[in-house]
Amino acid sequence: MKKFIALLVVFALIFSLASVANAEESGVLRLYGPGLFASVGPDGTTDVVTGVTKPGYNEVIARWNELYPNVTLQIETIPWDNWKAALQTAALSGEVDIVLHGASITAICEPLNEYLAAEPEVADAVGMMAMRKSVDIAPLDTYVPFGLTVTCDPIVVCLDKEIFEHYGVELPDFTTWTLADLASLAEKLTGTDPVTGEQTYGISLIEAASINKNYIWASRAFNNVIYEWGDSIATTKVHFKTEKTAEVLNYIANFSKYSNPDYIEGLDRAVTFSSDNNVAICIVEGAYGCYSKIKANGVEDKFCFVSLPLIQEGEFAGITSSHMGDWNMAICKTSEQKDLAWKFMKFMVTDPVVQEWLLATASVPSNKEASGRLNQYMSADFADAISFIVRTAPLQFSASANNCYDSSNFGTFLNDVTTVLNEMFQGNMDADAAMDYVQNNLDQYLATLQK
Amino acid sequence: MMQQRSKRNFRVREQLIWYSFLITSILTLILLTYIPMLTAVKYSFYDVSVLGFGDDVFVGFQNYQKLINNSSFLNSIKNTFLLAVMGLLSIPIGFILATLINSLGRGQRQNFFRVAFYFPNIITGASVVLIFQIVLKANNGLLNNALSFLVGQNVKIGWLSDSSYSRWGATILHLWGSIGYSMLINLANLQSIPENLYEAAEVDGANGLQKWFHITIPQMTSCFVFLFITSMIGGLSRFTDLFIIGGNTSAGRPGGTLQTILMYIYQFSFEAPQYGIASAGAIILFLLTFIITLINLKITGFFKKEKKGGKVREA
Repeated sequence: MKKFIALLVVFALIFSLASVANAEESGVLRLYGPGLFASVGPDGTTDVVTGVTKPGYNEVIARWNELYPNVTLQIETIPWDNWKAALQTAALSGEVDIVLHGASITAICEPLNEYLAAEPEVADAVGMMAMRKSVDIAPLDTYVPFGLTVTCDPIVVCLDKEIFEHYGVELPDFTTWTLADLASLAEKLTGTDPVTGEQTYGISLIEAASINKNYIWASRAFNNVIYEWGDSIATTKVHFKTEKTAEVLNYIANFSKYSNPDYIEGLDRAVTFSSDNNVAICIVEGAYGCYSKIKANGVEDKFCFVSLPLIQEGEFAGITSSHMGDWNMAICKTSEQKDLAWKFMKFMVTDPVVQEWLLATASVPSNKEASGRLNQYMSADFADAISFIVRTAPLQFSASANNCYDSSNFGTFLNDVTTVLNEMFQGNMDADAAMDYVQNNLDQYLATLQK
Repeated sequence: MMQQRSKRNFRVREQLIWYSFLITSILTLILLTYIPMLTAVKYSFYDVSVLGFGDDVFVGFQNYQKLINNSSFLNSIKNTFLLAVMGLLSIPIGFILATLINSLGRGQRQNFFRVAFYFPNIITGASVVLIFQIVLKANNGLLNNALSFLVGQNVKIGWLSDSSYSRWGATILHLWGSIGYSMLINLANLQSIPENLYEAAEVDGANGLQKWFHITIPQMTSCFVFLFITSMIGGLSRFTDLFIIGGNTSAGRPGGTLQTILMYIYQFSFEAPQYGIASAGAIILFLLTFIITLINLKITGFFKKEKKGGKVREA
């Protein structure tokens, strides 16, 4: 009798799998690029510092093979070093179907407009897409989806609840707080902790080497639109030298008064996210990684996450200025299996088993429903802010190419903004000199595009 | 007749084996070095933003023109030369160290100092930068603490974070890693100077300082030339440590003062790809290095070869 039941169960299992499997698709799907697959590897990894174990991508392959038994996945991962050049070379070879994190190089990717128009539920499911600008497809003021974002990396603000309590300052309500609130809190929380007697610092911005990322959220919060889009990048005008830009630059540089003097050297976070933390407000990339450190240090009760202040005016007024980094997938232009590649990408952002795998790899899925389940992995003090950002972020936005900041199309703009903000933080430059420096380089770059 | 044929066959076979080795290495050189080099030359005359996609437009010398008119590129040339020249300090420091170590005489004490001073040379660049970020930091850095102790007031210089001092900070870091090599080359040359020259000088009544100036230094000329040329070439292609100091960006943080030509080229190769501009930059760097090396060789008399009779002739 037992044997009979076992046989019945096996038969039912095979039958159920067969019913969902897509046996008509066959071939080899080749994926190439950096990112999550590279960091977890085929069999998974264990982080030495936090002890977090992440499952490998073999689990994704196994799940895919359940659904597409005749399609073999070939995943070739690369490190982040020189990844853009590596992706271009790989695309040229014609041996790649999906470029991992390739959406930034629009020339090698297939735009996804048609796929998304045919299956709008995919766009509805995700909180972020790899939006870029491409004059060949749409006017420059319009975004074109070039990739599906699989995981996102929201900028969050980590608050030390103890420091707030010691100073008798209330925690901000992240659904309503403003840029002025952030500046005021940073000022109030800098000084000698009334309880411990230790020096505390009001704020730690995103690290000095990437200080330009503070410009991304601040310029967006101020709605400092600097581009007057033309028919092409060459005919686009960039008005960086404006009063509003000066306001944004000064707003960021003003935080130097409330930061650890080691910030500019990237050495200010030695004790952050631990019981010895001395920074009240810490703006961080890699929200999940930050949470993992806090958890590993056993200080989950001491901290919480909030999103960045609300955008003051303009197109996105009223939503958080927290932007998101991402890990995306794009269809390679030279692929001969574009439809199959799309199916795999759709699978990565919608399949429930994959979403569980993404959460298990300590990533924030772009899938809104899955990111809403973060509270199964971390307490609401942390999960709520992340889910809030993913849920409310507009799809028609790209952190690296928007109306306030575009590092994809304007030469050395990223490096120039980093340079001047560092100099302002150090007190070696004022806003006028900073704007002159950036505007001059922008003008020179745009002049190089004139035929 | 048979014997002659078999000898000839043997010789042909032997030569074929030699040629097969030569051809392999020549083909490898052509494929992996010369063709990419020539491609870079070609790209420098084209407008190429994405390799292999879109039409590459021939633009003549426009890329070169754009670079020469670009203030950031000119600034990167200035930085490159300043850092390379400041890095030359490793030669006199290495020479002084070598003289001191040499004066200890051969033995365990000399070996100890040789190893001790050379040791930093084998530490990877990334680790050196990480260590020096602590040593040279503004707030309670080791160097600032030492200076504060010496001058009796609080010194807070951001050696790697303040654009006014960053070139000095980067040079301190570079010297720490390179004086060991310079010392070792100097020491090897010092020890090859014939003893009889010193003995003759002693007979003539020369003191230690006179021997150092009139025998040691002239005998070290070829060593200095070698170190000068290799240090200059190394200095002109400096990248890794400055890239890491800048927080893994090619911006040349702080304030663009540490952005070398190579970092400028990197920017347009990997961060904001404009391969035409990057290739033109690479060609300019090659030409600059070539010209400087030629000038070095000319000035230092490297082209002069000694004649049998003791007179010199141009090579």
